[in-house]
Amino acid sequence: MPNLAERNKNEIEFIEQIFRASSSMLSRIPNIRTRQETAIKRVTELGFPQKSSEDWKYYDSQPILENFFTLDICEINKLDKEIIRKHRFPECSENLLVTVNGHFSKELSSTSLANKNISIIDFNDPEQLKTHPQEEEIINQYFAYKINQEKSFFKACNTALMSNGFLLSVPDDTEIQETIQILHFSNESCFNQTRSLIHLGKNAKLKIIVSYIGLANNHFVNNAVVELILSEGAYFKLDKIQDDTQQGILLYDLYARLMKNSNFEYNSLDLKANHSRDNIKVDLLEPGAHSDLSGFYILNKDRKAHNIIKVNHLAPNCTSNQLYKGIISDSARAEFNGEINVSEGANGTNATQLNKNLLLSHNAHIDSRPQLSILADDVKCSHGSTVGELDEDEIFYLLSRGIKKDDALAMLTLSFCEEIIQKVTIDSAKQHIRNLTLENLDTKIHTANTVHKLK
Amino acid sequence: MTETILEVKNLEANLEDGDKILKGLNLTIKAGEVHAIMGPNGSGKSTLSKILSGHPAYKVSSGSMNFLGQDLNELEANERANLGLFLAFQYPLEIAGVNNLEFLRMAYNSKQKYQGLEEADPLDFDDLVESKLEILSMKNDFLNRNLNEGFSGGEKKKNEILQMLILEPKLVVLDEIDSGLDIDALKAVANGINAYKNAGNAILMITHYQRLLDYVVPDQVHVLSEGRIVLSGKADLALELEKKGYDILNAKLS
Repeated sequence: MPNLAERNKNEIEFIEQIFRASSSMLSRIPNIRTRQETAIKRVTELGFPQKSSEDWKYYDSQPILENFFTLDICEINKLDKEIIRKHRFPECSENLLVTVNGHFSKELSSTSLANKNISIIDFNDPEQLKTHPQEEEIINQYFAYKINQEKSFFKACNTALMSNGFLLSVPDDTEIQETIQILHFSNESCFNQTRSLIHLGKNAKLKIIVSYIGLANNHFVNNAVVELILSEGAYFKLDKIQDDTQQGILLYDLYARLMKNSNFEYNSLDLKANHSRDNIKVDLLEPGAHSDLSGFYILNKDRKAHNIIKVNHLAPNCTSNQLYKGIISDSARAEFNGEINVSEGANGTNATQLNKNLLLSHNAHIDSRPQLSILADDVKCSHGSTVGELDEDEIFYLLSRGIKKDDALAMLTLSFCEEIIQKVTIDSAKQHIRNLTLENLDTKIHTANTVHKLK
Repeated sequence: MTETILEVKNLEANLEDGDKILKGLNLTIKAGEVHAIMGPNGSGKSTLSKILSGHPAYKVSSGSMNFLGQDLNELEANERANLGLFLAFQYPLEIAGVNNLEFLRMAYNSKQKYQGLEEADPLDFDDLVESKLEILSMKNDFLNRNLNEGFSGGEKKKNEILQMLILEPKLVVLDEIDSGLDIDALKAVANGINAYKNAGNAILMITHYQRLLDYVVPDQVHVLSEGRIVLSGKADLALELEKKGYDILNAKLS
């Protein structure tokens, strides 16, 4: 192990625990197992993320260390079906995938999924692969892609420690009409590794709505990794709802690889976790690929949300948009760190990036860093960020129609994020998101002219 | 005796930490009356409308505003509205993500609740709204759009008048409702105002131009200058001002 002496005691202990735990987590599928072994090496080589690294500058990872509890890798726990009924969206009741503490549960997932033209492969079930040679090929090619060069410590941890995540694969020329819902539950105080690989064949179409739900009352960390491959002409829509308890920490790593003329829409809704860190990387690898990333975070108390986004234009004539909005109150903090990287030869790129924030208290804080790097010609790029408060005249307009101040503030806040909520595929999810947003609103909202107190 | 709707006495007001804008304004409006306030730019016309309706940026330093027997200064903006004071904005605000129909119903029910009346369910309310749309020659699809978002100037003004017709206030303050309107929109807006007008309510129009007064004829015309009403007269005063400009003030006042 390199240089461990230089790191602090907690970090050493953390890595040693991962090292010990990983031996019992190795998959029975040889190709996955090999990569897990590489991942363990990467964990020790990379070491716990340091503040000196640009991507971790604003993120305080000490709570992860300090609260590092037992670092148990929880077994799949019993989960009352009633809880699933409470969290599933009615539109998706027949298309449900469930994981508990990072373990994929066939029993809790909808059986009707098997009748659809989708393959769902458990990462720890070699028997299943025997009858799915194509899926085996996908796993060989894409699972833990280039793990020996992996830069993310937590992603390497996930690969080392995950036991049964799943591959979800849609064959060529297949359109799945209904939206699939994935529920990731955490119901124990532990370090959960949630893992999925999603592969869309040529011209395949799929919509997924994912919720990360924390049921534990104690601290826990959900370390989630999603790898995504969109083949030529594929379309994929992903809504991600962070619906954890306020005790939860969500580390979310999404890596999307987009082939020719494929289209990826991603919408992230950070609503509840104590703190979250999203690391989103999109590679536009072939001409005509398009990605639309959007999201909003609503933070109160001392909660934190970090969005680290990299969109890499690696081929000509690709397009991409980023639109992130945030509402931050009390002493909450947010970070938006977005990059557009246009590589040499990626001519004809068209890329936009915008981050808008509402700060609703004097102690609320945002670090917004929209960044552009362009090494090609004939490129159209725009980026920007805004930080503001609720508009006093808009509040007055609503008051002048008889609407109470609290209601007016709630309306205007929802109005600010409605643009993002509208992108969500499922109607009942939209309403759920609005409700969670209002729950998080601090009524003592600070506006541009608090000196003019509305008596 | 006719009911007094608004009585403003010696009103002085300023921007919070700013200059004095109203400097002793007197105005009495009775039920059934239509008043028009004209005056040069910067005379305090729009400020008056904002102070009456309770904009938080302004502060009353002395004088009184009595509305239906209540001291307006004691009431918050939403309470003034619920009591029956309506300001039609010169520049109505665009609020994305707030559905126009839901907004109208929310405003209507706020008033009903405040006045101890029954709130309207969505179906009954739809009927009420549709009857008012006709008066303004507005199409139904207005209702499904977001509040003023992407509306043209004329559509925004019509939407203000629609709100007024639904809320049935006792006093309407129309702040330059005629600005930015073409002839057809002006006629539709005037139709709305005339449909609203009755013996029990009152109108205060703030305008730069005579043309609105051709459609909604005022009982009294006031000229506001440097924060107070310096001249009052009948409808023909507006015609005279239109012809000769505010220079006549000097002649008349000297």
